[in-house]
Amino acid sequence: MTTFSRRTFLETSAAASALAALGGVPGLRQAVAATTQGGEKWVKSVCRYCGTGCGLFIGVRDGKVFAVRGDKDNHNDGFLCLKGFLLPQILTAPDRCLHPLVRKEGKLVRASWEEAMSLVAARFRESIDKYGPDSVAFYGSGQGLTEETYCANKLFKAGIRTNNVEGNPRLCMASAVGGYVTTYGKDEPMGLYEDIDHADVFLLIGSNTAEAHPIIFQRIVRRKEAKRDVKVIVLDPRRTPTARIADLHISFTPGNDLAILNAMAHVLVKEGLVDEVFIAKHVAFGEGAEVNKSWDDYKAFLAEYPPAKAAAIAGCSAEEIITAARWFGERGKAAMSMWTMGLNQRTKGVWANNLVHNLHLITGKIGTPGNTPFSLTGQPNACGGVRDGGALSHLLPYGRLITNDAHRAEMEKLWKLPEGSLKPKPGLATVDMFRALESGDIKCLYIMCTNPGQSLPNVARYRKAMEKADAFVVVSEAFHPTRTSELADVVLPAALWAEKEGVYGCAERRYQLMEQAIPPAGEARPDFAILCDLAARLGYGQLLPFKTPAEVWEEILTICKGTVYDFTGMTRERLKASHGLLWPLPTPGHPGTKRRYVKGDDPLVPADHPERILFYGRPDKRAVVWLRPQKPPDEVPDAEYPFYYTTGREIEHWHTATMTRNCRELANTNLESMAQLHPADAAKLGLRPGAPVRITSRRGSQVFRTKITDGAKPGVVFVHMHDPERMCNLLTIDAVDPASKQPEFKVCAVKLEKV
Amino acid sequence: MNRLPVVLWLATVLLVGVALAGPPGKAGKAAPKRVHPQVDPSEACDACHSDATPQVVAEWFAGKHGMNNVKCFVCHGSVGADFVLRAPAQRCIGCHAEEVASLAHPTLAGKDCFSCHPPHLLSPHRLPLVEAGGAK
Repeated sequence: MTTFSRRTFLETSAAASALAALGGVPGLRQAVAATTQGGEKWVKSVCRYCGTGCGLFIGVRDGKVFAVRGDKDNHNDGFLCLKGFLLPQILTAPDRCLHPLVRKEGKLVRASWEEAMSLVAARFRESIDKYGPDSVAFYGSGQGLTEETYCANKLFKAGIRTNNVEGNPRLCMASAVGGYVTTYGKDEPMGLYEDIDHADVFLLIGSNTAEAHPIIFQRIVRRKEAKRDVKVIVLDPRRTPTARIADLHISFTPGNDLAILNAMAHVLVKEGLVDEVFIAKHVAFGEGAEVNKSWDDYKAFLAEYPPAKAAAIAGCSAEEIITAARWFGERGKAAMSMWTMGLNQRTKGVWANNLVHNLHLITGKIGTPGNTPFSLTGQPNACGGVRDGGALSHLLPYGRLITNDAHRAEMEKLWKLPEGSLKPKPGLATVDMFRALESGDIKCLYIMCTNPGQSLPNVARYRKAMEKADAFVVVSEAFHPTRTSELADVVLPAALWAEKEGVYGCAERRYQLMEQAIPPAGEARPDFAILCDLAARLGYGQLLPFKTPAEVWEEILTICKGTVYDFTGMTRERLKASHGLLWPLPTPGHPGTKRRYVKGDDPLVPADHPERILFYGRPDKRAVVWLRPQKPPDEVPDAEYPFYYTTGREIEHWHTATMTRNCRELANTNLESMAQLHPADAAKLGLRPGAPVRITSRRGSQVFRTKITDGAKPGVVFVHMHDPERMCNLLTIDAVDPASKQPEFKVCAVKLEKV
Repeated sequence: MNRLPVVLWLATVLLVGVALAGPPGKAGKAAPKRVHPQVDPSEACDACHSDATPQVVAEWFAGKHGMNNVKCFVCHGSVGADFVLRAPAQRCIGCHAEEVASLAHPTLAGKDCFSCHPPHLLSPHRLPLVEAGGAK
């Protein structure tokens, strides 16, 4: 038994004694970092949950995981959040998928690997031959290992030759990518977690950091404890636990933060809190898709956003906006902004991202310790595997684009493909991909390590698409049933976390190697091995000839070489010896890059560059301040649907709860999705705590129980995303940002009825 | 849900638990096995405990664990037989492995984490804070 029952504690007391006996107090750090002692081993790894990427050690005894402990030498300084601490329980969950399943006469029944893989290969081959390569698709995950995602991307784009390669980062990070690419020319943040230790002002917008990224929140708390005049500004319609440390919490009507951000810029300009020299040297201005505006154009644009007007639009006060701007812009104070789904999961998500970057660029508060915009990431390898690895329908690995002729030619050379092999047209983005499954244009879909049957917006529509008799759906998953595997034609049992080896890349460009700690459960196999098997069966074995994930990594190092990501010096041996390394890291002896675009830090900035910063991502070497007007969400309340509906996380659970619901402590806390309402709204509707209430949108309806909380904003109902039985996404809207194609999970209109 | 039975049970457990846990520094005295009743899975712990054990909740909230959302079950386990009244040191190793290991030092013989750090408040050093009358 590997879980933390009382009995296990007693059983493991001897282990703890051994740990304690490792050396007493002197030299303790070295003793704790030892990997093997007294029949136990402690394997260096990374947390399986959010994108913070906390380092940890996995305790193994008798071939089983019995504990985890935080890695003192990693960025998390030895701390884990409450989910991370309970990770061992997920490995022995009763719903682990332990053998392949194949649907026969409507039911999923046990099958051999041979039978399952033969069926998958036959159905994909039949579809490719009969309907063409674009009749099949891959839908992956920001939780897959870098090597796994790389294999899938290569198999589908270079082997099958379809660009229908997507992943759930489209649902969470695509707008952040769009923000970085449009503003700086390249994806991924320039800052790092260490900036938290230097910041004087934090702007947390669209982020419930305390619950979604607890270890980052803890670091902010420590900074605030260490320096008493540190200010925290929280912009969120709800008063979440994050607001507990806020010196200023601005609550506003959902979807109107673009007006607030423009008004903050208005105040910065009006009060002279801008850096004209920095702007002249490093900033360009644009509108729409063109970089054709000037500083004066921008100032004229901002004249339309006085704080009073923005406050009226957003339902907050002008004084709050002015205060936020003054704190952010105060000279001599370092400002760090952090955001996540509140900005990204929006039909104006890229624009919202741009507006945060604008604040840093016009004040010059960027690229020095504590001065940085920094997007927080929801999944442990959305950055390293999918974004950096280019496993989306418009991307090729490491910043290359499908539509760029030179990039395709380069990848064809690297992948040893005949010229013209890679298709120039992007594949279908996530929502369009599932609509193509609905229409029948896509016949076969391979889903790996994710749960779209619960996590897609307007999910009932796409569940029907997956259920269609002529849609062949393969799900590779560590758990069964999930709300997706229950719809599958074939379920492949995937190895989970400690059962396999590979690299995770977290929000701060930190790549870390997770070493295998235990064998896979049952007949489970690593996705790396499953994909190599599938490639061989489809006739593309020469593209994935790998015997180990380390061999894949060797190839990846050749693919990243010469790009702005260049981590050629990040050898397997160096990853094994390290506690995470930040790219760029182009040579074996390079220490890694703390701050991108900064002379002395970033190896891509020439040492003799005359300025402290060089935005080399764009041809003109400038970052762009974009003129982005306030626009409302795609759907706003009206007489028929008078409430805002918004969704998000609770600290106890993660995504669709396939893992957290398997931890006893977590299963008993906050698992059920409740309709969280302000007391005034509950009173108006005659709802008492626990009373059932039906929430209906234009897409669906679901009954929840009522939770009354004064942290809710009047007129806004919040439901968390974790509950597989009461799915919040039956109601959410599948409208997407036209640039990033990310859906607007955060805002739609609903009506509430007492049941 | 009807919280009265839970509140009464919790109050009983707390009193018995405090008595059995003994004074500071008397570590190693295993608390008897207690069974936490099943709970409403839609709620967090403080939904009941803010009524049943308000002092405990207040101290937790004021301490590091409360600030950083390290919730009750991290130390006390789940419901039913998984519940532990006094968290064994091994329950702390997720974040405090070095400190737990330091308990092997001869000067700390017979101590556990709560010998120095008052439960729930978990301030850095017990005695000065106790003498000063509580948390700052």
